[in-house]
Amino acid sequence: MRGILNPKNIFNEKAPVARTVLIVAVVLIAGTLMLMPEPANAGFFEDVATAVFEFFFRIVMAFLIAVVVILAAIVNLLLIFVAWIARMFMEFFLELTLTHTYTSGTIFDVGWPVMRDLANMSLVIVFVAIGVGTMLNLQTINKRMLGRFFVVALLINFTPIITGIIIDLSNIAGYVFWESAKRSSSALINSNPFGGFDYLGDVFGDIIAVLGSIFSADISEAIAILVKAVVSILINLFLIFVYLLLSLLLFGRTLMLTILVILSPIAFIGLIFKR
Amino acid sequence: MMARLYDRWWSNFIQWSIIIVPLLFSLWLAGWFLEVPCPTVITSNPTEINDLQAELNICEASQMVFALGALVIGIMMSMSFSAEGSQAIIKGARRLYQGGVNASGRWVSRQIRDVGGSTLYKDVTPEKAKGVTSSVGKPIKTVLQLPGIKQLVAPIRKGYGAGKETYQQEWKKVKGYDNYSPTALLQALNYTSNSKERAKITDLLVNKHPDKFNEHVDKLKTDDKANGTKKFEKFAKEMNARSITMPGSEKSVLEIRPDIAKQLGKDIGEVIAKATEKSMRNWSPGVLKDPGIVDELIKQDKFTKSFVADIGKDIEKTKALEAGISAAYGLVGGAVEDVIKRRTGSSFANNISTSPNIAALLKTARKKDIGEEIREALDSAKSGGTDKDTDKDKNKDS
Repeated sequence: MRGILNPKNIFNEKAPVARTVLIVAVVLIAGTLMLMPEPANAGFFEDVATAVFEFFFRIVMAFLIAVVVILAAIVNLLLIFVAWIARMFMEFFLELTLTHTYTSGTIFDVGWPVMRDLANMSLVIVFVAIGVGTMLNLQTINKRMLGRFFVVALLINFTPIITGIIIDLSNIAGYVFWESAKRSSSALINSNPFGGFDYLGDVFGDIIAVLGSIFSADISEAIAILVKAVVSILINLFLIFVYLLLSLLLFGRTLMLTILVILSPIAFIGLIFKR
Repeated sequence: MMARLYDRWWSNFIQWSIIIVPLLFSLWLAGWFLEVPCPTVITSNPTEINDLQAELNICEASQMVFALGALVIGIMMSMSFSAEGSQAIIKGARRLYQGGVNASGRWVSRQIRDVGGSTLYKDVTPEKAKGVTSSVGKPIKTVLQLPGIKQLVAPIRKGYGAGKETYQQEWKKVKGYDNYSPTALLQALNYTSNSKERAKITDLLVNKHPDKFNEHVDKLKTDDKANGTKKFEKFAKEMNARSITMPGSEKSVLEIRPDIAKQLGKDIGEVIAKATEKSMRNWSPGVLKDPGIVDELIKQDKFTKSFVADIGKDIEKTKALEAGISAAYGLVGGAVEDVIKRRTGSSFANNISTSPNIAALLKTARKKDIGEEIREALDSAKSGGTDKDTDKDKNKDS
C-alpha cells in the first residue's frame, strides 16, 4: 500500500492474481459482445409484443383524447353560454351608458336638489368666512375670492347643463362607433371558430374521429382535435373576460357619472378655494 | 381640501365621460379584424377539402386572436389613455380657468378701486430669483460651451432658442392693460403674480406713467427703511429674474431706475453711459440721492445745462441731488448760487438757494472732473461771470 500511496512506486506494486484474472475476463466478454453479429430480423414474438403494445397504447391514448374532447365540449358549451350572457350584459350596459339620462330621472330628481340646497347653504358659510378672512387679513380666505364666489354661486344652479354638455359630447363621439361596435360584439361570438354554436356539431364529429383513430395507425388527427379543444376553451375564457371587463367599465361609467352629476354642486364649492 | 375635492371630482368626471370613446373604438377595431375574408371551400377533392379546412381554421383563429388582442389592448389603452387624456384636458381647462379667474380678479379690483378700496391690497411681489437655479445652471452652461459639444448641441439649442425667444417676447403680447389708469396698473401689479402680466404692467407704468412708477418704487424703499421690510430688494430680485427669463423687459425699468443696476449685476457706469437726457428727466429724486449715480453723472459729464435746469424746477430733485453730492464728496464751505443762477436758470438757483452748501459741493465736484456745464459755471464764477456765455444766459433769463 505504501507503494500505491507513493506515486513514485505505483508501478512497482505487484498486482494480485485474482485481479488480473478479472480484468482479462472483462476484456474478453466485452470484446465478444462487440464483435458478435446483430440478427437481421426481429423475432416473431417480439413483433407480436410490439404490435399488441402499440394497439393498447393507441386505444388508451384515443380513449384519453376522446374523454378530454368530450370534457372540452361540455366545458365549451358552458363557456359559450356564459360568453353569450356576458355579451348580453355588455350590449345592455353599452346601450345603457349611451342612452341613460344623467341629468334627469328619479335618482337625479331625488339627489341633485338635496346637493344643490346643501351647496347653497355652504355658500352662506363661505361668504361669512370670506368676510371674516378679509377682516382678519387672512391669506387663504379673503375678498379676492369674491369674484369666484359669485361665479360659483351662479354655476351651481347650472351644473346639470354643464355636466350634461360634457357627457353628451363624449356620447356623440361614442355613437360614431356604436353600431359597428354592437356588430363586433356579436361577431366575436358568432365567428368564433371554437366557440360558436356550429362548434356543437363539430364536437360529435370530433368524438367519432377520435374513436375511429383507435383502430387506425394515425393518432395525429386525434391530437389536432385535442389541441383545438384546448384552444377553444382558452379563447372562450378570454372572450368572457373581455366581455365582463367591458360590461364592468360601461356599468361603472353609468354609475359614476350619475353619482358625479348629483355631487356636482358640492364639487363646485371647491372651485371657490382653488388658487 | 375643498379645492382638492373639486380637482378629484373634475378628474373623475372627465375620465368617466371620455372612456367610452376609446372603448368603442377598440370594439370597432376588433370587428374590423373579424371582417377580413377567409378562404371558402369550393372543391370536391377530399385532400383539397382537408387542406382548405385547415387553412380556414387557421384564418378564423387568427382573426379571433387579432380581434381579441385589439380589444384587450384597446381596453388597457383606454384606461391609461383616458387618465392621461383627462389630465391633458384638466391642464387645458385649468389654463382656461386661470384666465377666467384673472379676468374676474381684474374686474373685482376695478370695482373695489372705484369704491375707494385701493389701499386694501397687499404687495404680493413673487420671489423669483433662486440661487439653486443658477448654481445648477452654471456648470451645465460651461459644459455646453466646450468646443465640440457646442457644435453638437447647436441645432438643438437653435430649436430651443427659437421657442425660448418666442416665450421671452410673449409678455409684450399681453393685452387688457393698455387703457388702465396708473392707479389701476399699480393695483394690478400688486394683485397678479403672472410674470408675463407683471412685465407688461411694469413696462406700461414706466413708459406711460413714470412718475407713478417712481413713486411706487420710492415707497418701497421708504417702507423698507421705516418698517425694516425688504420690498425694494424683492422688486430688484424680480427685475433680475426677469432680465434672465424675459431679457429686454427690464431695460425700460433700468433706464428709469438705475439704482437697481447693482442688484441686476450691471455696471452702474455702463447704465449711466446709456442713459439719455429724456430718461434721466424721468428719474425720481430717490435716484439722484444715490452717491454712486451722482458720481458717475459728474464723471460722465451728464449734467448738461438743460438737465440741471430740469432738476432745478423740482425742489425734491434738487434736494435729492444735494444729498447725493453731499454723500458722494462730503460738505465743504463756499457759495456759487449767483453763478448757478445766471448759468443754469433761475428756478434751479432758487431751489438751491435753500441749500447753502451746494456751491462748496460743486467746488469739490470740480476737482473730480465734473460736467462741462458746471465747470464753465464755476470758471465764470471765478472770473466774475463776464464771459459771453454768461451774457447770453443772462439775456435768456431776462
